Amino acid sequence: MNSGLNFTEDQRDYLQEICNIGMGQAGQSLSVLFEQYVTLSVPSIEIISAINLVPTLKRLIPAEKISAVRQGFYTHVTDPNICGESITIFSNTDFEQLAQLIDLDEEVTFEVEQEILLEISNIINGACLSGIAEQISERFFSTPPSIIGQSIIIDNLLNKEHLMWDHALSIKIQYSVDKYSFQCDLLLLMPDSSVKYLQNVLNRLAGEL
Amino acid sequence: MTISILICDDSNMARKQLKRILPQGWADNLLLVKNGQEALDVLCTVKIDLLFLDLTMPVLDGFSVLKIMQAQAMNINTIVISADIQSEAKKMVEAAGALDFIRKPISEDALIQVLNKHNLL
Repeated sequence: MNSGLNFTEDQRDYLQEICNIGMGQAGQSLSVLFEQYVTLSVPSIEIISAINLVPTLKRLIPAEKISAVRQGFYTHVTDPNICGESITIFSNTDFEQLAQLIDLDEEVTFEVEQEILLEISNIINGACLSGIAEQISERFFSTPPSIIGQSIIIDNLLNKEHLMWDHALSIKIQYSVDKYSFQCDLLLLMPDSSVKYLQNVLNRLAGEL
Repeated sequence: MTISILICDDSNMARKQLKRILPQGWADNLLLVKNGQEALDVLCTVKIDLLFLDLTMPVLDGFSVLKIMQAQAMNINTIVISADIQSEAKKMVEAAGALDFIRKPISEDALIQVLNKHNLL
């Protein structure tokens, strides 16, 4: 890992646990959607600085085809403590199977795939951000989600100008439902000031223990 | 009453959070481990009265620890503390022999309530 941000081991551990709690909430929401138990795995996190973003993401997300949904988040409209953009990246998604899990009867068209992407990314993103927000005593507001790529190769996502942020917190998530598992990566892209603010909060939490 | 306690969680933060809210003077022996395999190793060598067990962990997860303890008839009071807040998770761990389930992030109130409920204080 090459973070260049000097996250201490404690800061990393705390951030991982905070994300873990967010992921648990997302799992609960997904289990309601699927009407089945969702098996969770340990989310693995990496903090990536912009200069390493493209090569690191290529390493973290080796899938041939990805789909991605973006959503902005912020704590306050003016002068936010934390703001950024989250991108939920789905790897090699089997939409037919997802549609079955959600109990969709209709034919899985391009539009239906879009609905599935928006629905699931909204659940994962919303639960994860609210889990994080709760832990750091903040509240996040979100902009509406939009699809930035549907079954595209990852280079086409990475070459886009919206990756122009200072840092990214990447959270690798895996959920299994029954015999089926699906994988996605949640990227929280943030400016320097937000990451520094987050580090201060983590330090404060560490000091309280 | 003083008792011997084992906390098993892969997160240092979670271990410290729990340690901090344990009733003062209650545990006369407190051990901390970071995965299920380490917990089983301790349980085989040290007498433990109460185990606090996380579910999602690397190496060996909490569900597996419960199953192994059940299979080997290791009768150890276990309270699961997990971010897996699905009602099914609570049912599964209780079916596998856990006394109770507390959701993360853990609060002092939730802990005391569960300890009282099972007459562990």
